[in-house]
Amino acid sequence: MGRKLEQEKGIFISLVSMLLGFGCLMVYSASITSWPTEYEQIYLSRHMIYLCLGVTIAAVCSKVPSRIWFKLAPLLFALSLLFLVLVLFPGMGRRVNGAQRWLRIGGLSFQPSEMAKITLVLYVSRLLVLNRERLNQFWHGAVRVLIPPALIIPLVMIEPDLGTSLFLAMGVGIVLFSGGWPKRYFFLAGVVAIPSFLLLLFSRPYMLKRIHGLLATWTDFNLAPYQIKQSMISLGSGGIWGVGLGKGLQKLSFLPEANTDFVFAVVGEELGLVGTCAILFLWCNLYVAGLKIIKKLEMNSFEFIVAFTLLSMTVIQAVTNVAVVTAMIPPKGIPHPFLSSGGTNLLMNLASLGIVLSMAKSKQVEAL
Amino acid sequence: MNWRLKFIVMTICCGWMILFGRLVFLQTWQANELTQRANRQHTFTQSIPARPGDIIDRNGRLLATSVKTQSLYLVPKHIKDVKKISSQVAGALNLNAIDLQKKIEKNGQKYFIWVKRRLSEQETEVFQKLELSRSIYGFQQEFLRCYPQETLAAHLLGLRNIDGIGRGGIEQGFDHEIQGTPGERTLIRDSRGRIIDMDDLSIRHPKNGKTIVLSIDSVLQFHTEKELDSLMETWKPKGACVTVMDPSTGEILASASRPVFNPNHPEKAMPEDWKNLNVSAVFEPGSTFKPFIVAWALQKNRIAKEEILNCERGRYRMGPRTLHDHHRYGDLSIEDILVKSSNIGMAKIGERLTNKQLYRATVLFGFGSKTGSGLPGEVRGLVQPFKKWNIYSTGSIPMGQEIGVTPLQLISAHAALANRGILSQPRLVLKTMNSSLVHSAGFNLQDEKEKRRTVSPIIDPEICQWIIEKPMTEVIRRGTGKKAKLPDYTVFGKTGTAQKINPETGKYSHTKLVCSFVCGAPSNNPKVLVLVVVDEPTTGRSHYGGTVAAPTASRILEKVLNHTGVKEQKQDLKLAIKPVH
Repeated sequence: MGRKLEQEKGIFISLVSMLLGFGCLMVYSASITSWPTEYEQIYLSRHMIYLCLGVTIAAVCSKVPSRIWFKLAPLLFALSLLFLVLVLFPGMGRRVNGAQRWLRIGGLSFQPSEMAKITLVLYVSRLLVLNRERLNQFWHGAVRVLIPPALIIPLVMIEPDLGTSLFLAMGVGIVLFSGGWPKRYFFLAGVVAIPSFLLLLFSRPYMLKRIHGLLATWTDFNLAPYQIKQSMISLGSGGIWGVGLGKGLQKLSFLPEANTDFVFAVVGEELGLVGTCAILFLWCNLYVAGLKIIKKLEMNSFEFIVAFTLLSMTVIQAVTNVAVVTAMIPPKGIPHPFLSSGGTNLLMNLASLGIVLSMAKSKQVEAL
Repeated sequence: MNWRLKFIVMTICCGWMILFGRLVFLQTWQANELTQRANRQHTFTQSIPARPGDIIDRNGRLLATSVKTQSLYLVPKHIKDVKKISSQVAGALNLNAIDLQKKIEKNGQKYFIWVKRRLSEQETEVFQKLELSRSIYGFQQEFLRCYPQETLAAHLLGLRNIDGIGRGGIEQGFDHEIQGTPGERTLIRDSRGRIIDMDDLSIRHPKNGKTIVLSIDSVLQFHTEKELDSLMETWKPKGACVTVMDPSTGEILASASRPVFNPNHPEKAMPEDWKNLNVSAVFEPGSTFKPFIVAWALQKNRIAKEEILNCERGRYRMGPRTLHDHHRYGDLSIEDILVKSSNIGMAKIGERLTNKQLYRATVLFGFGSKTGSGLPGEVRGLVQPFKKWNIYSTGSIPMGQEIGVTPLQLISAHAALANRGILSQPRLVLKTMNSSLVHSAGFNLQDEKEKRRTVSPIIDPEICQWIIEKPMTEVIRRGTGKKAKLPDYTVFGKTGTAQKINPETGKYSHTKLVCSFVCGAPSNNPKVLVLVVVDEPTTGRSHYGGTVAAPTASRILEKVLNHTGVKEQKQDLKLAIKPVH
């Protein structure tokens, strides 16, 4: 029994490692520029630093027992909230492309909204488990559980970072849905959230423009936004077999953000359909392997809800990124987990998988 | 797992399935279209210029050649301080700074505008001393066409324009051969237009142009032009031209026209300078036309060599009009009709021939159609359609009126007489060679006999020999062409003085004349034929072919005979070889 779990964990970790290895290759290849500059090397070195840091964090996270996570959840949540407030202050936050998303700590920049992806899930799960018996009471079951997201999501939204806010909302949704939140609350939340979302959409013309751009991609290619056009050209010109690793021309200057959000397009050009499908295959297996290691956890436990949500969110992030790159949904700044050049995102994705492992182990401890 | 979890897992799996389908669609179904788009934005095709072929004379002397030069372009998109750059560049290259600035600003979004093409070495050097950033300019190699002999044979050569296209002369007529085929290569660029790689496999090397060997001899051409220039100086005509031909082959040994242009500096030329009178001037030949009619009348047995015709003492009524001669001639032999150039005598021969035969003779000698010299701008001359010929024609055609000819047509027809009745196309191009002269081991005209051009016998050799050796030789000895006598050679020839039609009155002008003179030597075996045509001489008094054109023609003739080393076999004329039948 225990051996089998260890075996499944081994498979899970191997799959993550394969994606990480793939990521190193692609970050290096996608950072090549048309005219040699020192940046080519810097990106890979930076990625390596984040990778080492991330693996360490993941290892630590996996050793932390679930009850500690349970206890720490409010504190971590409060910390994220603090960072998210700090980032909005001009002296603290760094402004890039009109959005204030980064905190500068030492030499590295840090994105508090990425951290919130984990802490929000932990805290909401904790609240849900604590209020398990009172879920049908409106105050305890519905309102109290929704207070944390109601605090965090608007903060992220005004950075502005719509993509991450939606993602956070989705995380909360998965926690509640898998945690057995009554269906009527979902209905209620939908009634409130959907109109306000639409209102928001129409109040920001640039978002509408993005949606128009997406529709244009489907009807008249020439009208599509530059980034999407280049992304599709990169994928298409790879064909089935690709032009060869490192030989892609698109990343050299045509494809923007080639080593971060659009790294998947570089895979498409250089490794072709074979490469892109290999990544899809890895992700599917990763999900299945992840589900297997948490299978034995009790469905409504804190451990299971957290592990299931974090695992699913990581996979959904990959799905979303591929969907953006293939022009299935409007562009929003979501990197491909493990493949995109490092940063807070890489750290947090590794941390969440570390937590998944920790949750799986906790059950083992209790069983003994 | 409960249904909620299954729902989430299934949703995610569905997402993957849809994306899988999408990827297959993009990377197989749409791969070709998207690859083409990718290629379009990554690559561009650059042409590699082919070196235009040289033009050389019959002895291999260079008349036109091409040298490699650099042409400068700017990249307006990368220029930040337009004003500074344009004043710097304009200063170095002697351009107008304000014009250049406007040009750069107008094309601000472009990656390529020409600044100056085919820079001299000095200009390149001065420009490079500016040490501008490599991202804002570039050089492209182009060939500069050079005419080392300057104006020599300019009308025959023509020139290449700034885009390397032949304009006028052989440059245009043989443009296809001279130009060569440019090569091509595919360059890979980034989104800023910078070239980052070259696709070696796609390279197509240029095919250099062929070398054209002309029949002219530049030494003879030089002397001919010198004589023509002194004629221009003496008589100040509107224009003048000379052609020197070897009648036995039809090869043009020299050909010049005035006014002239310098192909190295086309911008300085006046519009009338471009015209090559030898092929594009149409004039009434006058008396120089008479020998053809006599030859045809003899050929058709309408007259006999020994015959005597009554020239009516200078007045002859022919239908509704009266013809006049300069002198009141009585009975004249056929020979003397030509020597004294009697219009009435010729009109009577015309009556014997009738319009039908006159027309045949005109067409047979090549008038009214192009000679096939290959020179652009050649005209057909003017021969009325036969149905328009009337009683006037019967009198006018024999004395060389009512017909327009080009100098080249005229000398070709005379060459037929001198060549025992065989009309051959004038030849200007001896051959085309694949290799540049510079690279070929040796120059030998004999190694590649080009197929002969169209030739057609039109008159009996005996009749031609008689016309050349008797009346046309007598013209020089005692007739209107006395000024063309040469001490060492028996010269034959014919003068012509034609009145031009005044465009205002529609009648013949008494002051605007075209003086022409055709002569050749030696009479018993013609080797050289020279035609001089002078359009509207203005200075001096006596404007006749024999006074204006003949001295120049004979000096040219003598020079050519000496230069080519023609030796006359002095024989009694009576013993002249009878043509073998």
